[in-house]
Amino acid sequence: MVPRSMMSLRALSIRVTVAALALVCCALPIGAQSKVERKIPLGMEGALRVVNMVGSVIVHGWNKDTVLVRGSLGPGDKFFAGGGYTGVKMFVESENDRDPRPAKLELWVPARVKLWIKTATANIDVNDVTGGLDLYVVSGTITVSGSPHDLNAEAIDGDIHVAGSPSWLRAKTATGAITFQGASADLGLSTVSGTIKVDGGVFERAKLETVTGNIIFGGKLDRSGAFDFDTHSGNVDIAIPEATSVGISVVTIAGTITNNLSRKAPIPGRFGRGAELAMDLSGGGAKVSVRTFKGPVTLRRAQ
Amino acid sequence: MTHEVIKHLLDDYVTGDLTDEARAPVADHIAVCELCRSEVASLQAIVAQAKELPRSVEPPPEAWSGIRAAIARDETAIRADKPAVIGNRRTAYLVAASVVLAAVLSSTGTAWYLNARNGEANGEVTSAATARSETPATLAAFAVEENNYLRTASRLQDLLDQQEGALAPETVAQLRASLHAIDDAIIEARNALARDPANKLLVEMLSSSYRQKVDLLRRSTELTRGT
Repeated sequence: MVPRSMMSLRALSIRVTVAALALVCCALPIGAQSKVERKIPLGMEGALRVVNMVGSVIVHGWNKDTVLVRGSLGPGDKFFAGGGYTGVKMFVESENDRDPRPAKLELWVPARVKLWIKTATANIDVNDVTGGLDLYVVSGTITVSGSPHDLNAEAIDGDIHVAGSPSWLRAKTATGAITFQGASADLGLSTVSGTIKVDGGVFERAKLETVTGNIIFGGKLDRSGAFDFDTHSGNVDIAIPEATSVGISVVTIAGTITNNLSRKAPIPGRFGRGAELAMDLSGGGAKVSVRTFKGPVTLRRAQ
Repeated sequence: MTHEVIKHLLDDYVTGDLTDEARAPVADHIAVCELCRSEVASLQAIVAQAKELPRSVEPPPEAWSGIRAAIARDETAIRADKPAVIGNRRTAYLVAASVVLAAVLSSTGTAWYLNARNGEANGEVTSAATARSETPATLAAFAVEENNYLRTASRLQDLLDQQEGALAPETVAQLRASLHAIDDAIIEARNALARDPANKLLVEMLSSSYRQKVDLLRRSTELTRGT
């Protein structure tokens, strides 16, 4: 007669062994096939890491504690996935690293997942994920729609497009453009030569910076918000909605200021070069600071 | 598991997040793969260094000798300039102001120093509105930071040069163009600062350009790893 406690211990060890074997099986390649379809359990707030260098990664958030992945791989390429209920990793291994074939992955993930994706030239497209997003591409395009809690997107020469209302958003690219349509409590966008264009709802804090890229801002300003626009030589175009309470400070070392918001004229800067302008509209409120080295600044009413 | 698979598991291997079943084949591979062994050593060094980092940093004791010297200089100058009766009272105010100013500059410099080194590189979540407080308050503080930026940029540039083969030629061209654009901006701001050394805005712009350059190099090297 086996004691009850011994039996449960044995049952537990069998379960652990089976789970471990299942995990090892999960990590094994599916094989040299061109189609992929897998379902993997993942908690609603679990973590998911995806690596796919070339092709595309399309992600949809859904209300299930499961990751469903479908896709097609290049000849000889292999798809790997492994992990547990709290975290899953998946990636495509190319048969030829020097000349990887495009792999197209489409995933359905728990909406509140913490998602991390890295690609080289593969485009990333994420929809309806409300958790956290960390997206990295070299020269692919990142497109996000929905309202992730926080979103960090980085590219070298790829574009970044966001439509929605992430609470916290940081996007950086060098030559690519950044477009944001929506609203955010905390926004930080940076490019070297790419254009930054922001439009849509209400913003609380924003810092937009470029070196030579243009900045076009047409969002609504929260009354207690702070907004910084910095560029070396890009054009800065800021459209302020009618009746917005805002204090605006513009300084340019060698550029020009065109003020279409009020009759106040800019004054010459230090040593007679550049220009400065400080004014309050509708009693002040939101703080807008624009600084350029030689980029021209235009302030105008939003259409 | 192949090298290509295992290289994505090395971070979990180092932090002990792999299951025993997954750990064994990774360990076997590391034993025979020099590249992975070197990557593991590098990751272990980072983890070890991170553990040694202090939770907070006090200004070094020698900072006070500089502040005391500045106060002494101010006292001497004020005594020489002002009548004795008014001087005593004003001296007290100015000394107090000097102490406050020196402390503010010191702590601003220290805070900025730490932010620049630890903040963005660690992916720290900072508010967009607080970003401007990261710029150094004085030209002297900036001179120190400029050296740090130049050293960091040089180190990252070397690393990127080694990894450049992993990038497409058109990406390399874009990257070089971007770095060139930032360098042009730095040179222009530097020349303007030489003509107008008291212009705090120029210091902040220059600092911002350096920060962008270091950030672009860092991102490029990080993205290139494993591509």
